Amino acid sequence: MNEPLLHVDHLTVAYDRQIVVHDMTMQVSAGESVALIGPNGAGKSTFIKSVLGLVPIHSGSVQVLGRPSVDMRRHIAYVPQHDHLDPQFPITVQQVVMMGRYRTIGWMHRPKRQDRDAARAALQQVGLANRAGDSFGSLSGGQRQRVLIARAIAQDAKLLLLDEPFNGVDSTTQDVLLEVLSSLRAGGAAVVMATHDLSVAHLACGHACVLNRHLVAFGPIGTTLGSDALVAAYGHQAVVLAEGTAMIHAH
Amino acid sequence: MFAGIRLITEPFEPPYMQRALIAMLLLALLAGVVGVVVQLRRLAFMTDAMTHTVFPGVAIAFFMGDSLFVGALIAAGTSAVVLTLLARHPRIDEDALVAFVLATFFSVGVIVVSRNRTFTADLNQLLFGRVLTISTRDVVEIAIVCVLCFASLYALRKELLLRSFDPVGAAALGYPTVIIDMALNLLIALVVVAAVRAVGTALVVALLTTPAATARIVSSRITTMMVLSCAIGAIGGWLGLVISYDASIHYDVRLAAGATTVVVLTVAFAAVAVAFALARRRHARQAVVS
Amino acid sequence: MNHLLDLYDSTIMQRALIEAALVGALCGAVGIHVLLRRLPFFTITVAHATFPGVVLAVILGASVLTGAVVFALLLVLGIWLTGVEERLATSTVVGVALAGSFGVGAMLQSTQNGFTKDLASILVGQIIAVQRGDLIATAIIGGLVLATMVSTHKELVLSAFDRTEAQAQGHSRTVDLLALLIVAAAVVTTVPAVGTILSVALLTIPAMTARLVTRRVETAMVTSAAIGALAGVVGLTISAQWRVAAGAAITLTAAGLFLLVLLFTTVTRRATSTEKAVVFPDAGRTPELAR
Repeated sequence: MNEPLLHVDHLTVAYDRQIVVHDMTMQVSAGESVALIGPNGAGKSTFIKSVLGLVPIHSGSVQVLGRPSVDMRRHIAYVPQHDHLDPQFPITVQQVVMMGRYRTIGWMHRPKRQDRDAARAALQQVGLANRAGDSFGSLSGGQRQRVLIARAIAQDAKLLLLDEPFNGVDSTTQDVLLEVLSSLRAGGAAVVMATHDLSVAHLACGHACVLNRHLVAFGPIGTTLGSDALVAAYGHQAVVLAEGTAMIHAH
Repeated sequence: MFAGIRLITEPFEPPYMQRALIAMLLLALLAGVVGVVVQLRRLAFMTDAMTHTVFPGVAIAFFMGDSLFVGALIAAGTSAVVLTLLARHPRIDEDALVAFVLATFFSVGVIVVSRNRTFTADLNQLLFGRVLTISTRDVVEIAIVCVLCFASLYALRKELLLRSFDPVGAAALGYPTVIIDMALNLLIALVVVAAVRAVGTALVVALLTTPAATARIVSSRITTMMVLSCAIGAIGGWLGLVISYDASIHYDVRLAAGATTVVVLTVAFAAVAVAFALARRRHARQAVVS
Repeated sequence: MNHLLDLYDSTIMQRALIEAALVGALCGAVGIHVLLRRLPFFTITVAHATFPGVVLAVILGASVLTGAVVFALLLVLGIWLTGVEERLATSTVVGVALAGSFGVGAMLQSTQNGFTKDLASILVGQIIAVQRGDLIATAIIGGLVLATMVSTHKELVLSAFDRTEAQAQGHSRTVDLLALLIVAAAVVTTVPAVGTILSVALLTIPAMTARLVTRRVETAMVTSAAIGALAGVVGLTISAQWRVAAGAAITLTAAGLFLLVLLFTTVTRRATSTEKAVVFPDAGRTPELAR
């Protein structure tokens, strides 16, 4: 097997004396996608942030293509939850998508033709080509999430990190996101997404990583999301339905 | 008609009024553009703090007989660096920190001047400026700061936009956010220093926040906001000078030009805010009817 | 040392010391709410908003306190009615209000001749000039504010922490108004002693210090009040001893205490962090100061 795209080795992250992620080890290869599953406060967001170098790593390492992830940040696209951004901010859809190209464009320089083409193509892929000139805030929540995905597409990244991308989006957006994610994987990108929606995880990801401050289970999604792992992660929030299957109480 | 033209030309016959007008217009331009960035980056409080942190520099320079410009620049620059670095401290809230730096720097300034007799006069000048006694050299200094600021803002426009819209995203892309934040804070410090002697701390805050806030109500395009904000600042500055001149010549009432400008700008903001709120309400009502 | 004892002997100094301890303790306790609700920007805006009120009161020959109270109330109501209290920490509208009210005060002040001395005392305070009446006013306002804070403690803390929960119980906006009024009352009481600009120091720095050493809201309030009173008394003594402005000396004392505690806690944390980091925190969280 060739070198994994993302290699997490005995990672421990501590915030302000509290351990948030403890001794986590996993690997993601190109073309794979992993769902990070776990209750609120399980360390899903913290794990994503530690890959991006936004929180200090206590021990262990995170490598992307064999190098520390912090040095590879321009090849990692981070997609925040759309409601973490200010909808009042005076900015157009086109400008948001272009941000994905900033590292390619470089300091001081202006966007070139190929950057504009890439931005346009990315918007087309999420079905919002006709909204390029509109202000970001005038879009619906689902459309905003699609714009943020388009920004990640425009970045042409090798690894995509998504924080609850399906949270509160409409069904059109969900279909578009699923399609875009599978085409990105076909293009050789790896995807890691935090989610607490198990059905969406099954649709979008081939692997699952159950997290509750430490790694509960990791492997192919069909076998990993068994009742044992979910009960271990969620405690009595998990309801075991039949042999090997379970569901999570909505919050 | 004739009276209208006289209103434009008459106050600006004396050379000192011409210099004041040029300085005011340059500052309106500078603050108009920088003010929009301050608003996007949500730095209104930090800007206000900076107008107070220049004080110890001005005070110390005054007693050492050194250039006030250099003193103010050192103090404001130091506070900008302290604010940028300490803002990353995980256990301190950013706005509490701003209050801390503001109060500490200002106290040092107060201690320095409180041991001197001309204390109140100096404090007064710092707070309200002396736009009418501005020299040609001051005007040139402001013009240089203008060129410097516009060039830096243009060079950093992409990174500043990203950092303002999506602060985490900028860090996630591997941008050195300390450097971006530091650059902007130092630019604001420079603007404050350039403006504070001419128009005083009160007017600096007003020039950097009020026109941009008014422009934001009217437009949601950044370039349009910048143009509007400059225009509003310029008109406010001109009106402030005219009203202050008119009041003292024709009505024998003393009105500080800087303070009058602040009041004009604030009234304009309130008028635009109310007008747009009413228009929006009427629009909503029509939408419901139809 | 003898000189110092003489200082404490004089009636003027005794009054000033009591005033410094009172406003220090009041601001310390209220300061915890200023931090919880991210109100430092609002605090300094209220302080500036009292300025035109004071100038107008002097021009009209009315009581300075009345002028300050009226304008502080106008600001609080204006902010509450426009509904920007959700994002006061960063709102540009607050900046507009700050600059605008200061501008109005400055314009009024410029119409008067020979006003500059009073102006300076408004800005940096004159704790030495405190009269018996001022002390009584401080004690009454302080007592009222503290009584309000104690009786509505649950609601104030709840609405600061969990806005959706508080709204579900239907009293969030009223509680917001109450919090703004409490802060405004503390500012109005403090301004005569340490001045407009430095009142924000007493309303934030002792609370920042307390927060470094404790996470429980109630403990933090008591600690912060103690630190505030201590900074007031020590700062005033330094000011009398070396003849520097009292407000500035009090602020720098509070700032020095904060830096000492920050240094101390940083060093001790670093020493213990490696072994403590292995302990898992409990899942059920009570409201804490640190986020």
